[in-house]
Formats: sequence, structure tokens, C-alpha cells
Amino acid sequence: MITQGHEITAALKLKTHSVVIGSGAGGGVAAYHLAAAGVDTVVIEEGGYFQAKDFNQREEDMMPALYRSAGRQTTTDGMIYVWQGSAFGGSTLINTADATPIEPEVLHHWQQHFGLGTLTEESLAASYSRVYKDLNVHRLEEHLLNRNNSVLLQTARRLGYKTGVFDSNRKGCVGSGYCYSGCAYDAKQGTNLTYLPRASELGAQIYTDMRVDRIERLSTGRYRIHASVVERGSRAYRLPVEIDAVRIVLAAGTVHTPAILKRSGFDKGLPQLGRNISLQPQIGLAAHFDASDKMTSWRGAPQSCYVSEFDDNRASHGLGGFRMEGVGGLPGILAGFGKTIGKEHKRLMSEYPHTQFTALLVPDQPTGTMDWEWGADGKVKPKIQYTPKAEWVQRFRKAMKTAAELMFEAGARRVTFNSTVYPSITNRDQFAKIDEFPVAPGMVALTSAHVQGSCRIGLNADVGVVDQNLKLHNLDNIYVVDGSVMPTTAATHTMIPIMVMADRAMHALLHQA
Amino acid sequence: MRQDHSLPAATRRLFIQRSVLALAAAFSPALLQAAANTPASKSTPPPKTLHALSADDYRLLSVVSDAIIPTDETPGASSIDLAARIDRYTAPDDKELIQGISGALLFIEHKAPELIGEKKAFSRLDSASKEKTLLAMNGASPLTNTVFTAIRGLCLFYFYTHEAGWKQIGYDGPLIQQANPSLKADA
Repeated sequence: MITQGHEITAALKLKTHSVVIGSGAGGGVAAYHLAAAGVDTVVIEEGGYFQAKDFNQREEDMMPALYRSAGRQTTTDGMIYVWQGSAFGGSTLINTADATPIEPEVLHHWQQHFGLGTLTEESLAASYSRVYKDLNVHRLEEHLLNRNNSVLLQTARRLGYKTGVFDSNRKGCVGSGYCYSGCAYDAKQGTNLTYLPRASELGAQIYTDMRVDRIERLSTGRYRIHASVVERGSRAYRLPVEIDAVRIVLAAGTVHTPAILKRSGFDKGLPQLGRNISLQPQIGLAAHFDASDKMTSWRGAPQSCYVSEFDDNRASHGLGGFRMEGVGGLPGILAGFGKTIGKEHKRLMSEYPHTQFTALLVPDQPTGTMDWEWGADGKVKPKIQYTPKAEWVQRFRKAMKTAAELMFEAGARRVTFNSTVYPSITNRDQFAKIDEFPVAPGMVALTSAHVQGSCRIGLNADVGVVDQNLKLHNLDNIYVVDGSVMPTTAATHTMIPIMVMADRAMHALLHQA
Repeated sequence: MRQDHSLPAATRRLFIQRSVLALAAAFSPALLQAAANTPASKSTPPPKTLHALSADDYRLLSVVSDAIIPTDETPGASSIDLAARIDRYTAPDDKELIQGISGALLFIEHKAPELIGEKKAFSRLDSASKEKTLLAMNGASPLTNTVFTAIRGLCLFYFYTHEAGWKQIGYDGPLIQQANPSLKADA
């Protein structure tokens, strides 16, 4: 059963065996496996419950409805926007349905650097098999590639670069291009359409518009969750909720899972909580082509191909190098590219149909930290501290140069980055300017769609927050199954890595039980 | 360009919360007094019911957005009363954001013209000087760039998500017509 906040009219007290906090990639998988095992399960989601009929394909409506802080969550210096879904289905509702596994070199890095010997390709194989089947993961159909993506793919192939078309968790995609705004056609197989409905059918009680404030450890060894029914939209407090449970599975995401642990006082003895954050920052590039070369970037699968030629993945450091991925987009977001205003900006916007957009993903090492404040209204205010390292900045600039070069090779007349300070590049002689582009707050807008870390896996509490089965080191019966457990960035897209890790952990837990 | 790593925030598009917040804190006390003494010359009458912004903020935002997206042979900010649209999409309980927008607008109105040697308030400048002022903000320092980026992003986002901005850029819009679910929530 799925109960929305507005359907609750009085204070609520519940008893159950297991509570899953969060309904995204990790929470959805956990809820399904618990319910399938016959465990009395409650799922709590802070965001709202939305269905296909609610997704109106308009940015100004969907971002406040579906994104954490309406898409305005940033690092404390404002330089990097940290995008997370915050609704029934979490980020699986608003991602681009790209299915990428944990890179083998990442697992080797975790084994060698962190001693995580049980996380191997072999030990994860069964989980991949289940998750891929449950999500209908398959190679994206060629007809869904738009010109925006195929120009990147074809040019890279002509240059002899390694490339690929993404695997995808779509079913019956019509190529509308509105993946970021929730799928109005029920084609994207997020947890909202897969694991959560199945969990509900198996008896899980799912509550939306409900925020977990803190967890109390009772003298019996059980837990009491103190939560609030909140208003849709403003998330203002409405009603109190108490849920007594034996087991808690945290899947509130890299930013909010550690916040709940901290506010519950469970951070004692966990020095790594809120540390080791990876953001995998990315920047957008706009390449302007002749008017006859229509990109129509807003239709088709927005993000369907990648250039992996410049990957530098090694056991010594995990993901490295950089990647280019085609990325379609909608006019509200993309209007912000460049630095112009007035008639000149209008002229540039008239080039929108023949402008190609690419995302440059530059993997990072886990060097960020997090802390949190809570307002009188109970809302958490995350403080994400993150400063790119010099080595990362060097790779970032190399990525911009390489992508610009590729776009000129493809026939672009001009290349613009998502900064109001960086000048457009109109010929190859200007590439040297990129070395002088400032990478600092106030100078460039970066985006993170794959925040990871904060509750990383480690062999003990000195070096990690959870063990290899994702159980909290310092308390029994608390598990973490979201992106926060990743010791370093797992892949260029994190839905599948999170799901696979959650699947494995839940299987281990329920098998032992 | 001067680098100042102690500055709080880069902003873009509508995501202006943190940076303009800091600006509001830095400039508001003095500028609020200046604003009281120098009302915006453009007398755009505010809508009867403003949702989140003050009448003064509405007037200033109307002036600034008109400079960023002028109305010519194609629609611009004034064609759709962009300031009113931004007001409607600003949550009234988001005090930090509202304070931030106010601080940024006051900065543009009373301090930014100095960047081009003007002593007049922004709203009293001619169109060319307004555009020159805004462009001068971008690149003068991280601080002014932050304000420019924030207000520019706010205006562009809410203009180009409106149907009036689509024809001229060749965007054919959503494939379905459905209401904003936020308006249906808790119904």
C-alpha cells in the first residue's frame, strides 16, 4: 500500500520489523527484497508520490517537484550543483536511464587500497543478473539516438576513439527527451515502476511526504524512528510519526543518510562519517553548428553515447581520465550557457536547434566532507565542503580542450562552456586560453549528478562507516544501501552500482536470517 | 581578473540561493537605505497580488529582466511580465532566497552603474547603458560576476521555460499537456 502524506490526518504510531528510509536506487531494491522475504516492512520517502500523469514535461514545474531543494543544492562555495532526486523513486525518477556497471579497476582499487576482498566481479555477478533483469537493461535502441548524440559518436569513431552506446533501463521509450523531468510514458524503469510497486504488492507499506528526523535506540535494542508528515512542496511539518522497528535500512542518499545518523547521535565511534565525498564534477559544452545541421537536442534519448578513449581507470586510483557524453537538454537550463545578454543572447538562442551539447565528466578522488545544520522547522541544511585538487583541474582543462577539438572536427563553428566568464572558442588557435580559465567559485558552474561517499565501506570503524555487507560498524541492525557507501566513485553513472550493492547486501542479510 | 576564493558562491540559472544570500548580507543594510531614498524610476505597476517579492523588488526585477531579455521584434521579458512569473514561482516561505534576490537587485540598482562610471541608479539609465552595466559586472570581480550570473540565470530560466520564448528558438515544447502536479498536491 502506498500512502501519501495528505492522506494522513492524525499523529501516526506504527510497529514493524524493518524500515527502509528512502525509495531511490538502494531503497527500492532493499524494500523489494525484504518484502519478498516476508519481512514486515515500512518504506519512508520524504518526497512526493508522482505518476506518469503528473509529469508535465516543463522544467519550471518538475524541478521543484522532483529534485532535492528544487535543484538548488550546492557545495558551500556554490561552485558545484549537487543534483539528487527527491520523490517516490528518488534519482531513478529523474536520471537519464543509463546503466553502467562498477568498473573492474574500481573493484580492484577497493580490494588493493581498502582491503575489500569480498567485493569482486564474481561476488557481484548474481546481483547484476537480477538487477538487469528487473530493470530491463539492454543496449539502447539505435533509433533513440538523436543527432546531438550521434554527432559525438560518429566523430569520435572517425578519429579512432573508443566509444559506446549506453545500456539502458527503458521499456517502450518514445524518445520524448524529457527524462530529467520524470517519464510521462512509464518507459524509464526506475524503482517507482519496478521494485517499489512489487514491494507494495508483497505487503510493504510505503509512505511518501514523510521525513525521518532522527532514530532513537531503545533499551530493548530496538529502534524508534521519529519522523514527520510534511506538506508537499514546502515540506513544512504537519504531523508527528513514531515507528518502532527491529531493523533499519538507510537509503536517503549520500547527503541525507549521514545526516540522519549524525542527528541520531550514531556518529560516535564513526570518524569517517561525512567524509570521503566524491562529486565527479562535470561541465557542459555547447557546440554551435551551421543552421542546416539540426541537432534537436531536446528529443530522443538525452544521454545515449559516450567517448571512453580518455578513461584512465587503474587499480592504483580507480576511475581517472575523463569522459565525454552527449547530453540533450531543455531550453530553461541551456539558456544559461555562455555570457551574453540582450539581443546577442537572443541571437545565440535562435541557434538552439543546431547547437550540440556534451557533458564532460571528470572523475575525482574522495576528498570532500559534509556537515549539517537543522533549522527550527526540522529541515536539514547540508554543508558540502569540496575543493577540486590541482591534478583534477589539470584533467578538467584537458577534457575541455579535447572536447572542443572533437567538436571542431565535427564541424562546429564555435564552442561555449557553461560559464559566464569563459570566452567562446572560435578556432583551434584559442585552445591555449583554456589553460587560463579559472576554476574557482564565482567563475564556473559545475554539476554533480553522482555524489558518493560519506558512509564509505571499510574494514573497521576507523576507516569506514559500514562493513562489506553494508552494516553499520557501531550498531546492530542498521544498514546503509545508497551511494554513500562507495569508497571512491564507482562508475560514470551510479544507479546500477547502488542497486547491485544493495541487492548483494540484502541477499547476504536475508540468507543469513 | 581578480581571484577571491573567499567569496561564497557561483550561481547560474535560477539557482541563486546561496550567492545572492551572501550578497544580501553584505550590501543590504546600506543599500536598503539608498533604495528608500532612490525609488526605481521605472514605474511598472506591480500585480495586485505579489506572491513572494516586495513591490520594490518586483519593479527592479522588471527593469533588470527587460535589459537581459529586451522586447523587440520577438517577445522579451516585458511581454510576459517576467518579474511576476518569477514571483509566482518563488516560494513565499523561502526567506533566504527572497532576501538574496532583493540584495542582488539592490546591488545592481545602486552599485553596479559605478562600474561604467555612472552615478545614476540602474533603472534611470538608457537601454544601452543598462546592458553595458550588466556586462561590466561580468568580469569585474567574482563578486559582481556572481550577481550577474545569478540574476541572468534567474531571468533566462523563467523566460525560456515560457511558451513566449519558444517560437524564436525553434523549440516545439512539451508533447503532452498536463497540469503542474504541485498545484494538484494535497488537493
